[in-house]
Formats: sequence, C-alpha cells, structure tokens
Amino acid sequence: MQPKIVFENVTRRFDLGHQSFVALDRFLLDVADGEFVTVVGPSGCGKSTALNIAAGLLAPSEGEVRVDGKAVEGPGPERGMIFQQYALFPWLTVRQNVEFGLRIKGEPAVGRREKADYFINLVGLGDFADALPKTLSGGMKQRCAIARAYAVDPSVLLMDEPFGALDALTRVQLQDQLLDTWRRERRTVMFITHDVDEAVYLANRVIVMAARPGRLKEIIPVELPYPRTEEIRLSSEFTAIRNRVWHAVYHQQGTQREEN
Amino acid sequence: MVATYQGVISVDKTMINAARVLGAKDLTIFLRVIIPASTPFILVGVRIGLGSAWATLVAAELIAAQTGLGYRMQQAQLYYDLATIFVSLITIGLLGLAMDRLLLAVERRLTVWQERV
Repeated sequence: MQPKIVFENVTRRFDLGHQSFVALDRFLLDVADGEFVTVVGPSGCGKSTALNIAAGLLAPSEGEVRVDGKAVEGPGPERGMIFQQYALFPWLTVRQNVEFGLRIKGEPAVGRREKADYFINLVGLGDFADALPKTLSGGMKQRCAIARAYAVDPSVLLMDEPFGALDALTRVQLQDQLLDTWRRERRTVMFITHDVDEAVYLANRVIVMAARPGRLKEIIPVELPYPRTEEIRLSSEFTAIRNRVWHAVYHQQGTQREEN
Repeated sequence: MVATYQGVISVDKTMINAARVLGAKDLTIFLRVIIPASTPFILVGVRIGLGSAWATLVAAELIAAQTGLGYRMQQAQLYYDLATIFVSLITIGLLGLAMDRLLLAVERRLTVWQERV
C-alpha cells in the first residue's frame, strides 16, 4: 500500500545573515494511511520545521514531501493543522470558527452548520457552540481548534505540540479524547511533542529526532493495543518503551556524528 | 493611520497560518482575518483622529471661516458678547465629548471578543 505521507530527503536551511543553518538534514520518513506517529526530540531538532514543510507553510531547500503521491506545494484543506497557540479567531464564536474552513470551501449554510455541530459535539463542546473563545479554558480552545481542523475533512492531521501549553491533568484528558476522536474519525496523524510520555501513549510509532543538524535519529514502534487506557499507561511494557524513547531523546551526545 | 499599520503588522502570524491551512487565499485572509484582527487598532486610530480633527476644525473656524461655532465665537469676542462665547465653548466641548462617547460605544460593540485583563 502506498504510504500517506512521504518525506523524501527533506533538507531545510535558514539564512542567518551571511551564514546558513541547517534546520533539517535529509529527513526521510514514510507514514502509513491511518497511522498515528509522534515526533519527539530536543529543541532545534527540526521537528516543527518538518511539520511546517508537510503543511506547505514552509518550502524545503531540497527534497520533497508527498501526500498521497502528490508533492506538497503550499497549504491545502486536505492537510489540517493544529497549533500550540490554538490560533482560533477570537472575534468568531466556537461554531463560526469551526465553520470557517467550510465557508471558504463554499459549503451551503445548512450543511455547514450540520457538519460544524457534529464536530463540536464530537470534541464535547456542544454547550459552548455560541461562546466566544475568550470565555473558554485552554483545553476547550484546543478542542475547538481540533474540531475546526476536522471540519474541512482533511485526510492528514498535523499537530504542532498541541497540548504543550496545557496543565498536566487537562493534557491527559485531551490525549484520551484525541485518541477517541481518532478511532472514530480515522485520519493519518503526525503529532509533535517534547513530552516522552505523551509520545508513547498516543503513537503507533515514535519518531525520535536529533539536533544540530535536525535529523531523524530512530524510529521506535509502540506495540501496545488501542484503546490506550490508564492501565496501559502504568504497565511495564509502556514503561519499557518509554525508557527506550527517553534514552534516545536525552542521550544524544556521542551519537551526534555517527552518520557523517 | 499609524495605529492601523501597527494593528496590521501585529496580527498573529499563527492565526494567518491557521487560515491558510483551512484553505484561505490572500484576499480571504485580508478580509476575514487581518481586518477583524486589526479592528481594535483601527478604532483607536479613528478616536485619536476624531479628537484632533474636531480641535483643528474649531481652530480653523476661529481664524478663517464665515460660519460655524469658531466663527461665532470670534464675532462674539469682537462685540464682547460673553454669553455667546461661553455657550459656544460649552457646545464645542459637549459635541466633542458626544462624538467620542459614540465612537467608544461602537468600539465596545465591535471588540467584545477581545480578551481584557
């Protein structure tokens, strides 16, 4: 089966005055259709760069990203993105935010409302459909952003540390909810985080990256069944994988040059 | 003008990216994201502009007009008509205040969505 997302030797350089800096070096990755991959790594490992290139918000210096076999050449509604800062439109209500992408697609008002309500209910914001974002908590804002991304029916969801700004408790709740949503509305998900627990809990595979230059370090499969539960989170299998990822992320000295 | 410019350049880049990944093109982003996001700044500009426009108008009338409150005051001064001077002064003040309050009300209505700390 053809992979959903292909990163083919993606390199990205940034020019800083007269010297250039390699944010991402020949990044190679295949993501299968319907798969949930998480990407972890120290800051500066290029994980956000990779995601932005897949979203089409950033152009690669070399190589290309293909989604469904087609090279990415700019943002498109088939690739939804969720940001750490929520990025809701504060002057619109929850429902209007969720309808934003549908409106751009030119969807008629009735269908728009129906779809928006479906996804608002799916993320559990049914009672807040007419509320303005300023009245919502951080977790609710992010749920609204997730509903907004889902509403335009993307086949790929790109998530850039979506739960990074939330407290630990809310984060765990949203992880469960995200997995639940993902099971009901299956999409290919690429999820960036710097939280090792989160990476293991959510993923089919954890992609560990290394910094300077940002590159792929290791791919660690997570062979734990879904639905993931508290029991799994506390199991010894989980801990073993978590430790493996932890080591891959935090003990990168000495392995820095092995590929060069 | 300056306030509007400041408003436009301070529109959150992530918000624009969010619109782009939802399929918005430049014109849509301008109309549906940049304009609403800068509305508070635009209104501040309008308020400051209104204040100075009003002051300038009255001053201009004092110097070189054939009608208007400023002109009337100038005439009254000529004839030492204190009552007219004071009535004009108060009217100028009240009209200025009324316009400002009206704008403030409009601003409140248009920016209810803003998070105020």
